[in-house]
Amino acid sequence: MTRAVIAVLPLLVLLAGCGHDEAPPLTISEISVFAPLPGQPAAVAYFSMHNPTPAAVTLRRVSSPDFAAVEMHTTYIDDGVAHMQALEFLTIAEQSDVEFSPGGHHLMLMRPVTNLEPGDEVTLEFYYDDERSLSLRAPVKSR
Amino acid sequence: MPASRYVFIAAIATIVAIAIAIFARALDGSAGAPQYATLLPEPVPLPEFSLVDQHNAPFTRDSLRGQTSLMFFGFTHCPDICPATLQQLAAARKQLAEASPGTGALPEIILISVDPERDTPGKLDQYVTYFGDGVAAATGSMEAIRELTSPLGIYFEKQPNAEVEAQGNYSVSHSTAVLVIDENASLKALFSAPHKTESFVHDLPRLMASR
Repeated sequence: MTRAVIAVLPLLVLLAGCGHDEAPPLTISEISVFAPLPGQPAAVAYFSMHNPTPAAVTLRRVSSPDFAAVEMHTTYIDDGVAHMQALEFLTIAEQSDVEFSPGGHHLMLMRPVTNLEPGDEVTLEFYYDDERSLSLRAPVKSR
Repeated sequence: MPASRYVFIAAIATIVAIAIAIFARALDGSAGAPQYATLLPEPVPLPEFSLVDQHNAPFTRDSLRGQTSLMFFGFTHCPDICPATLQQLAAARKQLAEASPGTGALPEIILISVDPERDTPGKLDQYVTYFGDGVAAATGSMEAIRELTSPLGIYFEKQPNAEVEAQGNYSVSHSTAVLVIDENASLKALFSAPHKTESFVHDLPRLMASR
């Protein structure tokens, strides 16, 4: 009986995060939001994502009330040449990490609705499969 | 002579040799080959080119004479790798200045914008000022930029996307190498991405000391 309960428990934990109003069972940490550089229209955000569950989770989009548009991009270097590509979605494999870091994945935070200064806070809303979402506040830094 | 004495003498000789080596290296901290940069067998003179800097002043091959320059190709709307690289270069320059205060021999950092459509001299001035001392920028017409980049094998191209271009959000693919230009305006070495501040700090004194 005890073994049966233990075996079912992870499934219950996973299911508990599957409602549309529930946050997905992912963690996002080490968020750095950098204010736009002088004269530039976009801020950029980096962070770490961790999926501790036994199932892959797909990040569909990110939005923010503090910016006119948010896009997921990746920089990749091919034969010494840097290219930037928009990501339509990003799948985080089961029990794995994905880094958004300089020279790789990053969030383009375009056209801030107010003049952002270091110390301000912005909201980032992460939307996953089934429109589950996670809303986070993060401070704005200078580079 | 007993064997133990030979061992003792050999040990002393080894210690002395190591001490001499450490002392010699301490006397010349810049000695040694670069570990991260690719050093060209012979410096290659840069081609003639004619650009304008962030103050709208002429920027030519002669502008590079008499100093070591670190040349990077990018654009100010680049949100990721360009500011990261400029920041690493500026941090390395600062660390070198702090390590050898007053020596005066510091590399100049130069961003060549490959996006002249958006990067006017005024925009470049605003942008490079953010990164601190010793950072300059230059650009020009596409033809003028290619006079510099093509002979060096530096690639850049606007990424075709009509939708984002209409919004002014287009991106530009570009080479990521940081070129080390010597005081004779010749290409001496290059750093390939991914870049690290520590690599610049380690290699630049060696590159600047070698002839």
